[in-house]
Amino acid sequence: MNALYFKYILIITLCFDFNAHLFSRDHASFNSLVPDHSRVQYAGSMGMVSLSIGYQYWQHRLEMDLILGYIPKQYGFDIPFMFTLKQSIIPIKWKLSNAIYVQPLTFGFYINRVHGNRFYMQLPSQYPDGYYWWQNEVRFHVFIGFRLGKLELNQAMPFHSVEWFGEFHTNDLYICSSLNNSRLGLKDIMKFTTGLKFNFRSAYKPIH
Amino acid sequence: MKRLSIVTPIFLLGWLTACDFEYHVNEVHKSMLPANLNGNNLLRLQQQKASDTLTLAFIGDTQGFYDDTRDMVGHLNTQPDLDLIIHLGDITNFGIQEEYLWMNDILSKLKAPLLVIAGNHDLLANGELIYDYMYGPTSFTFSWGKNRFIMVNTNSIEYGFDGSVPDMEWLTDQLADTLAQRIILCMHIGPYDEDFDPAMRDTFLSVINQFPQLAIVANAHRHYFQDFSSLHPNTCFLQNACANTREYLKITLTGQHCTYERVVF
Repeated sequence: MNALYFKYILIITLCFDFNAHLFSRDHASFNSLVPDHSRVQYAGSMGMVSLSIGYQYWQHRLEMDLILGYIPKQYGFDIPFMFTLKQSIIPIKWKLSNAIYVQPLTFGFYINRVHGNRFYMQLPSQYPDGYYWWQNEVRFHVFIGFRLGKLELNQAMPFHSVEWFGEFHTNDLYICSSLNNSRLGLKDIMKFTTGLKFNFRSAYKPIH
Repeated sequence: MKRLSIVTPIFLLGWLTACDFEYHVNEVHKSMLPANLNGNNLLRLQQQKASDTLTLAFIGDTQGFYDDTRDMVGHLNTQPDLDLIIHLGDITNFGIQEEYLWMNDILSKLKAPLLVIAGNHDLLANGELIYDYMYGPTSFTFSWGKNRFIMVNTNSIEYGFDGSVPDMEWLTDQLADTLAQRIILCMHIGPYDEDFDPAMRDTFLSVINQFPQLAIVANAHRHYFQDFSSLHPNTCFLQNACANTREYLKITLTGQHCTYERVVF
């Protein structure tokens, strides 16, 4: 997928989120830029470990995360940081008990960008036009996942609930690789990621 | 319904053990990669005694053609007399770790020893770091019996045509410094290819033409077969097709006399 597609997706996503931010925040925020949640995540093709801040829209059916990932240089990255923008949709929430709830289905996409000598958005000049049809700085991922949450009853904590999440994800290059053959299936192209999400006290409560 | 919501994550938990973690698509995650595959296969080769007749198979440009490569491996395994199989480069499309692993999963089923040369696609992004760990140096040379094999990196386009690749000083030294009766020279991008560094083409051809022991020259990259032998008398100078064309080259070298067969599978 060339860079232009990602630019369009990014611009459309940001416009959508900006609109959601203005019109669908359910709580009376004294400062609507205060994040609703924060995540710490392991793997996910956005770094070895990553931290995010995020916003929730439409009674927490839509989430946006701004993610900073760290990957040690030994894994091939001269610049060990990378940035990811993530959109999650959470259509279902179930209460299991007074303190436990589950979001059995989450899905969405994210756009990840790396920097470094060996990465580029536009083909360097030594190549004829269109020599390689993809670029290697930006990757587009899709995911499907689940979350298990617990209300935090200790009022001294800054978050009202904490969720453990797991997601299965893949990206545009893996999907392309799997399309023209029978050898590669979902099991080959899917990766797994996991982490914890902390919902701040200012955010919409996941269950009543 | 509620019970399902408990069971589902647990079930997925079970499945997750089959899925890997990935730090980034372009990661070089050495704990997930086999190491020094060319070196290991060379050791295997050198435990066999080389006879006067050398039987080689050339494959190349298996990038993304997983089904065809799987069939090709099956067919190669039916050939009883292969001494060595040489992959002339482009085992991946994007130079990413997962592709290297997918392709290795298929190629590792070959019975005969396999040596893999890096193609231009294999060197993209972090590909050279992966290749270097998984296979070894991009240019290397070894002797087996009275045969001298020279594998030279000719992917100049990936180095911005800066003159460092192909390393002509190294190549000339390897060609000159051998008591071998037969030289087999392998590369990914051949000198007649438009992607070969145009500033180095004439030098390359004049250097290799100086050595009468040069019995076989092989390249790939273009995805179709071509025979350049008429330009180089007494040498089999061949361009290999890709896995998708469902053919590979089988070469027999007896004394200084070389014959080849385009094997269809």
